[in-house]
Amino acid sequence: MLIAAYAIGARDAFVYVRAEYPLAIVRLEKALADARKAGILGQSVLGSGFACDIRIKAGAGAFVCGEETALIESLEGSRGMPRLKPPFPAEKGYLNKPSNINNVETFANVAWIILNGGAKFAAMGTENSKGTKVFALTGKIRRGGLVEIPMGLTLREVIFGIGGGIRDGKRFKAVQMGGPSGGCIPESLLDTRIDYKELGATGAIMGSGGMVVMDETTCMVNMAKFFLDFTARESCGKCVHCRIGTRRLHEILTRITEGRGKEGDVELLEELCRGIKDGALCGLGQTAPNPVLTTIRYFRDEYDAHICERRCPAGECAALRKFWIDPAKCKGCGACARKCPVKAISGEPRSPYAIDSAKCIGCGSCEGACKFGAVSRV
Amino acid sequence: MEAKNVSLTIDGVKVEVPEGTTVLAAAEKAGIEIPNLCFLKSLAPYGACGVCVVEAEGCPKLLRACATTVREGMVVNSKGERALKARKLAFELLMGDHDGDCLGPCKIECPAHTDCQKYVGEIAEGPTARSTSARSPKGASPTPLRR
Amino acid sequence: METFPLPASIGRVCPHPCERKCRRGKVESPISIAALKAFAADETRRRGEFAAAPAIAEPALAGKRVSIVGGGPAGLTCAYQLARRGAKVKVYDQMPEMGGMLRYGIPEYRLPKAVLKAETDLIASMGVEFVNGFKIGRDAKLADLRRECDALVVANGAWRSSPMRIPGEDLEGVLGGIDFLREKPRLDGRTVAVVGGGNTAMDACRTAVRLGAKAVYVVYRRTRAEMPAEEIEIVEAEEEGVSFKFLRNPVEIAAADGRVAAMKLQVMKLGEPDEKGRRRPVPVEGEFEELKLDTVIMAIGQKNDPAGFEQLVATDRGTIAADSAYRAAFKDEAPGLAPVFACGDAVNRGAGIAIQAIAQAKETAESIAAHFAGRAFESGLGTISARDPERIDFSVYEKKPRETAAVRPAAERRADFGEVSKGLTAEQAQAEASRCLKCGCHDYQDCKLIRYAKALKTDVLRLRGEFHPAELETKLVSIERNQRKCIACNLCVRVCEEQAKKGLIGLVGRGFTTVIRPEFRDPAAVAGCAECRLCVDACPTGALRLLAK
Repeated sequence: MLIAAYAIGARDAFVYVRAEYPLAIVRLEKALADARKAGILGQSVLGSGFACDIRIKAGAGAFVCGEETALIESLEGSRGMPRLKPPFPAEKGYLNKPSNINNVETFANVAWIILNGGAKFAAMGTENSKGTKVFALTGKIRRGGLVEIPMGLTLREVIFGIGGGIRDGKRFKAVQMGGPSGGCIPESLLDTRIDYKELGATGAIMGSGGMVVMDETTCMVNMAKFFLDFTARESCGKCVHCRIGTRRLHEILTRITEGRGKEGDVELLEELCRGIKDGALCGLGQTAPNPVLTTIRYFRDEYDAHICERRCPAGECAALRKFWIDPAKCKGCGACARKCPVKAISGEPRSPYAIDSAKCIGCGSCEGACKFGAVSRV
Repeated sequence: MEAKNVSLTIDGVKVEVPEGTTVLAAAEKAGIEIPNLCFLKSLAPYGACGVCVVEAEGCPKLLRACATTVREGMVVNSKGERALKARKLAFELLMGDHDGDCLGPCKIECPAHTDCQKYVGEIAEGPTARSTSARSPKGASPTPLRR
Repeated sequence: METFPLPASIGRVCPHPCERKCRRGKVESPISIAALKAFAADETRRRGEFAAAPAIAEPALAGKRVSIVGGGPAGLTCAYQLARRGAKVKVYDQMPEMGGMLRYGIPEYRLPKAVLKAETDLIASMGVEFVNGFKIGRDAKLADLRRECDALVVANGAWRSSPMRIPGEDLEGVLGGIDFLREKPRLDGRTVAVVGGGNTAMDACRTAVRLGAKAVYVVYRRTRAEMPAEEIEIVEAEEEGVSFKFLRNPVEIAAADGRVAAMKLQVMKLGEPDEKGRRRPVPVEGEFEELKLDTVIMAIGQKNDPAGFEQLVATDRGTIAADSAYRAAFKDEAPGLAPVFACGDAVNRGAGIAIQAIAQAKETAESIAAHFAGRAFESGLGTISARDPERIDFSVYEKKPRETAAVRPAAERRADFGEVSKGLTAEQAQAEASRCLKCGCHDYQDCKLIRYAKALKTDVLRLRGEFHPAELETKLVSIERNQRKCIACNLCVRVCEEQAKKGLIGLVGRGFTTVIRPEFRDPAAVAGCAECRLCVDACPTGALRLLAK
């Protein structure tokens, strides 16, 4: 950051950190204190006469403040809502002064490049994406955590190589790339290289480097709803397309996961997604539809099953789950009937019990209660 | 320094405006109304409603006309398919969220949509009020329903 | 008078579908909208202030000659709206006076002719030329009229009674309801049966009483509950001595000495509901009733008379075909001829109530204006936002009784054709009018949101979902904010901040749940409001309103 400040002649620099990372703030404060003590920050950096200091600004819980102009608004003490661009921050940024704003990961690369040279940096990665990238590998993965890898590795190499593949003996289904605004990439595209252009072509984004891995027990429709739940709540509310549009996307997805989907819903979702992407004021709105668009693109059959058959193929959506008692395995102990919250199970002791599917709400309590493995999902 | 003029085309109409003019203002000069809801001439552009979006040749994204400064030779289409879709969506979203009460149900149900509220309101005010007339010039409707 | 020029007449005869939807009905009973209309119109005439609504500037219509065939409610309304717009209008009618069904179909005791005349006189005073006693087919061909004008409107109504199609229908003593009401032959000493259950049947039976009939029956094939006639008409008919025979359907009329002597009635019972939900009448096999009488009046329906109008393209049911812009056409259209329009009972779905004919006529005039001005014509209100009454709390209103006009006692009124209703008194009218809940939005005319939504033909239900939260209105000094109508454009916030330099209100909450109000709900925050009303003027919807002091 200091190098960048020196390059543009900036005296004030800020690190905007989420308040939800108190440990990061403590460590950062210590690092800054140490730097000041060592004369690296202050009135005369390393005695050069160039004055520069870095301050920390803690966020207040708004995802939208990750958008650069919303961040600047928040930094100025205003409500975190994006500004119109142009003018871009380089022209009118903090306090309307020319400002340079980047992710800390970007800045972290600068020192390495200066020390090792640009050519060495460019030697890593692909034609369009140079150097390394940090990823947070999570979900149904054997070995999760933060990894820094050179650009150009394939998703397969990261997930199955570094990550050790899917845990609990399950199959890979999809990986969500780029956080809640990213896209879901299916198995067929596992050989996509980690590269801005290649990822973009799949409909996903590099984003913040999130990689959430999913297996066959994940319902992709529910996953899209889960992400929309987040982005719709985090919408700042300034622009119409995002404020109302993301809310409506969430409502439609909720309907579908609850078995109330209608013919034409998928087309409506797609139309809504395209319109929101076109009309939204900032990146939050422009990318919030990505999980919906990618899951429709790669997992259309799941949407169709929910809407036309009232069935959740992954068995995750409670409202669409149906359970069945195998009469061959049932011992007639009645444990499931006692656990059922809606009294949908009936039978005589020591005879096979049966579930009334009309009353069944799909909660799965019976499956949990059965010690004989007689209850299974339909 | 003398202000330069910029010429551009909006919806097929050529128009010349001073440098720094917005597309919305240039369209107004060309006699074209680009719908807008959150814009006011006396205030800085805000970009909230997303209703004034237009297409511009060579631009991959839609532009907000209220906030975009004209460029020499710009070719703007305010009624292009993509712009219209985004605009229509904005209104569908707004109207879907608008718990308004435009007209009394009596007026809606009447096959001729007669405004009977007007004279009913006058009669309610009493005989000393201005003359009760079945004559009803167009204009303000009575005060809204309070809850 | 903005919509149509017959308020006193319509106020008296309209079955007022508006009252069925009146929200006051959810408190205790609907507003007597029709009675108030009659009162307002009568008051205006009494004060000598009865006048047309202001002229409408329509340069394209200046001096254009429009000929209208039919001087009933449709023809008269069309003439009025065109005259307001500067056209030169001529109305042709076969009868001696203008008014159509209002004059020749509706009895005097419901609508005094003098009242109607005052209204038709006003139309004539606007420069509209009336040509009475003029019948198409006899006095001129429709094509001739078309040649002499710039636009032709056909609004000749539905003046043929629908036949019952039973044996004996052609006997002397059997009359069509429409013809009976028009000719009003004396019925002294006669025993009359009116067949039908609508308002025409009620008009016929009550007129028969007044024309001296000894006994008057109404024969209807369903029950009283299914009768389409207005309840008040049925009640007043009963009071005047009319007897009702329900669940009876005529199957044959018998003669004696060349005249009607008896009518054989099939006994009916109610069966399964039809598509509209009304239970179908079904014959009870083998059960009949004989009614001895000498006069039968058929009031089961009315159709248009195509005689003289054969050149017009017709619909499957024989009515004149008119499109959504009320355009009709000759079967052998030739280019360069004046456009033909058609509206009212003669058109498409056929006979309806007067206000429906008036509605079509008003739009026909607008369609004609649009045609000559070269702009598009759209029928109807277009996109609007309508509140679901379920969302309104009606318990906050104090119940007040509905005012009804006094009527002349039955024994007295059945002997003459004097007006039955005495109309609302001034006190009644004011009491009744103050029950009005004043629904609707004060800003409808100026609302930018609705103007653009109409232009884009927005479907308000397509993306309807939960509404954004709307806090209870709290008065911001003398500015009222309706959060339900707020579209969060933030103009009020910005104008108060940047122009008024006060910044008294702000956004609270995030995203969909954002509301605009004074920060921290602090009354001190708005103490600085100087009521400059910049916010009210800036608001593109009706969310902000300046309250009168």
